[in-house]
Amino acid sequence: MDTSSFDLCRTFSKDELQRIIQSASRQQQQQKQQKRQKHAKQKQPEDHPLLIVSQEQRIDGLAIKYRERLQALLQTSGYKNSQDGASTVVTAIESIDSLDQFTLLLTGISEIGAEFESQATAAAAAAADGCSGEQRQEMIVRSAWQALVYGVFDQEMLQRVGQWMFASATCIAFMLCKIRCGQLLPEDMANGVDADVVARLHRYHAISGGRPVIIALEQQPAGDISDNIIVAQNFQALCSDICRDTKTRPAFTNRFARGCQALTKMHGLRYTKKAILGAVNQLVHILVQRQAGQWETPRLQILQDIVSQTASTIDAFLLRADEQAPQVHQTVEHSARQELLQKVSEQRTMELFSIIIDFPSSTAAITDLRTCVSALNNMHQVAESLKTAVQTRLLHPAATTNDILMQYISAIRCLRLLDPTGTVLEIVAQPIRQYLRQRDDTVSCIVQDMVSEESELFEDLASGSLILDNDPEGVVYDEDYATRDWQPLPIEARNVFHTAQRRDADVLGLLVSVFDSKDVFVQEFETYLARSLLRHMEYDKAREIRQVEMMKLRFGDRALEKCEVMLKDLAESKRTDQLIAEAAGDQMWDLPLHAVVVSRQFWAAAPVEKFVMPREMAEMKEKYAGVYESIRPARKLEWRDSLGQVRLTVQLADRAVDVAATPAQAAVLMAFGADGMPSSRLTVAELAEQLECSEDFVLPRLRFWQSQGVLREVSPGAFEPIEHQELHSHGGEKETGDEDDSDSYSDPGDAHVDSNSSRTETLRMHFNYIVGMLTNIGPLPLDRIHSMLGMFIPGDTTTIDELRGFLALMVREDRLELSGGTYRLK
Amino acid sequence: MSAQAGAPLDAAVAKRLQNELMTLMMANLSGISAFPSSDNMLNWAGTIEGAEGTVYEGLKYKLSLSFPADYPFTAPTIKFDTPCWHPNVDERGNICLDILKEKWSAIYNVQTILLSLQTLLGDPNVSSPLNGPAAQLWENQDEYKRVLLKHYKEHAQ
Repeated sequence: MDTSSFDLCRTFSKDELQRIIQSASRQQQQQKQQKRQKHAKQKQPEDHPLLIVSQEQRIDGLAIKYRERLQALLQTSGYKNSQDGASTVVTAIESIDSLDQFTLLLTGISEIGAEFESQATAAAAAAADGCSGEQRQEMIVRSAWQALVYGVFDQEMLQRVGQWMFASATCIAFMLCKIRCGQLLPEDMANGVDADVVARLHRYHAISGGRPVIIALEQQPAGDISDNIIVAQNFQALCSDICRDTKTRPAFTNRFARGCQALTKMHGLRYTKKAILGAVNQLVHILVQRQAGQWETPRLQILQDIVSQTASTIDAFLLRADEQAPQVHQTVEHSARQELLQKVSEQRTMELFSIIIDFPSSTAAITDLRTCVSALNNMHQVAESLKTAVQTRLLHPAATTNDILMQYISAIRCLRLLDPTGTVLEIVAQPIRQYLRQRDDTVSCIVQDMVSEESELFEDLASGSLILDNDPEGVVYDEDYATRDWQPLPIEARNVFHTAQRRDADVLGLLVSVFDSKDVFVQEFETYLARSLLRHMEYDKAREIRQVEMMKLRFGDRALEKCEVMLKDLAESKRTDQLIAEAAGDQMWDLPLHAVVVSRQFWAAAPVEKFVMPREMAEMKEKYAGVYESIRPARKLEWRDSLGQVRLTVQLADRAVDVAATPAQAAVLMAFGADGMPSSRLTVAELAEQLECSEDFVLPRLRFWQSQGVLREVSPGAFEPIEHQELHSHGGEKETGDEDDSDSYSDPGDAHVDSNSSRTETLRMHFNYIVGMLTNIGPLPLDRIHSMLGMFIPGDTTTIDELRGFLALMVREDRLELSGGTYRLK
Repeated sequence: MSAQAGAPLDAAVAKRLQNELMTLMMANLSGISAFPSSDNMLNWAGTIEGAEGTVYEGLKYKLSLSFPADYPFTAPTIKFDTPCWHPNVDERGNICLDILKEKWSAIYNVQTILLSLQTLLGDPNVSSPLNGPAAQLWENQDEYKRVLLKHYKEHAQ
């Protein structure tokens, strides 16, 4: 195929063409004679009249006859059998002597095709298949080509012929090249072909690997195309075809270089430079595009190799072709490398957000980008682009705080690798940090992540240095820094120190510095610790002790004094409890109650929920308190009934259920068994009355038991125990089987050891300030109020979230009004 | 931020103003109020309302208070931002009040200044007027009030 195409392209001058046609017809005559002899031996099929053609007829108007007969045959037979048609066409083609005949024949075929389109198409395809001999194929192509050139067909026919005849890759490529070079057809025709056929041509062209195109280019007569831009564009397009379909590098570079060479020969170096540059850029563009999403291995080096190799191949022949070559080469190689860096940088910048998500498996992509950026010095664009991506893709209400934190952590690690100076991180992190500050649960998410032993933050907690509080000047400076781009910082030592502090901070340090004060974290940790200490009634708290020790490493001993006291309270309680147990044992009491005695000032305030304890539990409390007061005279126990845990075995008619519940949950359930009426039915209102609490208090607890399969709601607001499971197996199983479900009914009193109420009181004192600023300055947004409070009230540590909560409260109390994001006085 | 904008703020001045702010905020007096208007402690915005029983009752005026760097040894500059038709206030809002000029003393503070201004509204010094027509009309309280309200309506709202 390659040889034939090569010949085909090379023998394009008129003389050569004639010579080949002549030799081809000689060969065909010989073949025909052989065939006729064969036919003479075999039995001639009746329905192939075309074959019975005399030698004389062939000389004059043979093709016309063929055409007529063909038409007649096809029309009468309806051309049902495409195999017949195919062989007919093949025979017809075999019988052709001259170009003119073939042209006529083609016309005939296309005319037929117009009527019997599908059959004719099939026939033509079959004919093309049948024409496997090189000579014949060449003949067909050339004839078709001439037919096209002479404008035998109208446009529609041309397209049809194009569809029929150009199934061969060689022909296609050849045609494509001609069409692209604008040589083939009058303008309108070229357009017509372009639109429909060229797309198809492209596809076929792939089969031949682009080689014929280059050969054709090489054969292009010089100097007859005035518009170099069109040539350059065509060449670029061809190159992109080549790039797209070439798997192996050497083959590609060779072809590419040959294309350049051909182009040079055609137009001289002067015109070629632009085309080659354009083509190289095109090549780079496509190469880089292919790397999209491939982040696991370094790509830049490979791409650079390809581009360099191509450039050097071009160089090798350009050097021979023209003495200006070195200069051209330099430009080509330089521009190609620049283009490559630029494109890779663009590509990776575009993907950076996703790369960060994939980090660390995408480390290679980061390394590549880093190389590009250090060469192009475009770090700022990268940062801005990522910042935009972050703002649109991450910082919106649909993203959970944990997701944002994970992405931020990943970005910290990733961007430190990309830019060790930390500038990009500063720019990108600024909106994230600002956004995180607005989220209510940021602190608690961080704290929970920090103390869970499998997280990365836990390692940071263990390894990093002491976290200092931000000083306010430094925070201001941060924002300046983000806009100050790359400049080395001509600023006072203090600011540099702060930068260094920020730059060297580990992930945990950075997260903590999202908030102006580390105190919020300590407070959150205190709340967390209180909750976790009180949740399970065990005195052994190795895990919590470890957490506190870890926290001390990062936050300093003094910050965690409260936590120390909490742990000490626990240890103390354990000893006390043992003493009480001994005392109870002496009295032969069964006292399955263990208390944690805490120092009120050091524990986050627990919400006080009033309800009547079941008699059994109340008695236990009394006994316990009695013993305690005898052991620790001058002290009195004040119980927090809503905290703690009760292990219950619920004895129902057909089964026993073991449940760990809160005292409130236990109290609600035990109300059902009170007064020796085990299976009573109670309404929410009755329960509320019995427990001396609100219905809102009762209902969630009832739901808890419902989810445990112990109670069921017989009518809205009325509950009764499920004594026989099988009777209610449907509802019971469903609910008990669903762990998450029961979580969602977990006791509200359980989770909230609350430090909010005291803050609210502090904030009430600040309300005058808020009124002052709103009176005199006018409506203000939350962050301005927050920053003003921080600025004008000495020692104020209100967080923006506390403030938001407080202002919301003030809005509810009708003292403020929130509209359009700003608060105003009522 | 504050350190970069304008003259450096002396820590003592800042502290004094911070304390004055706290005094003012905690006193929570009706009809007078002021607050730093920006991050800069030296520029405040104030609001006074005319005292009950005077012609200025129910009228609200915005003020700007600008403290010098050597406050409290020099008086702050105080102007009406809301146009105020008053014998001792000129049309650009400048105020003629002795304690803001020659009788200034470091023992005055924002709260006393604001109270003085509130008093001045209802009790002008007609003998040294900045606004002649107002001073002349002061005797005729009904007519004064009519002109005042007309002025307030036109300019202040």
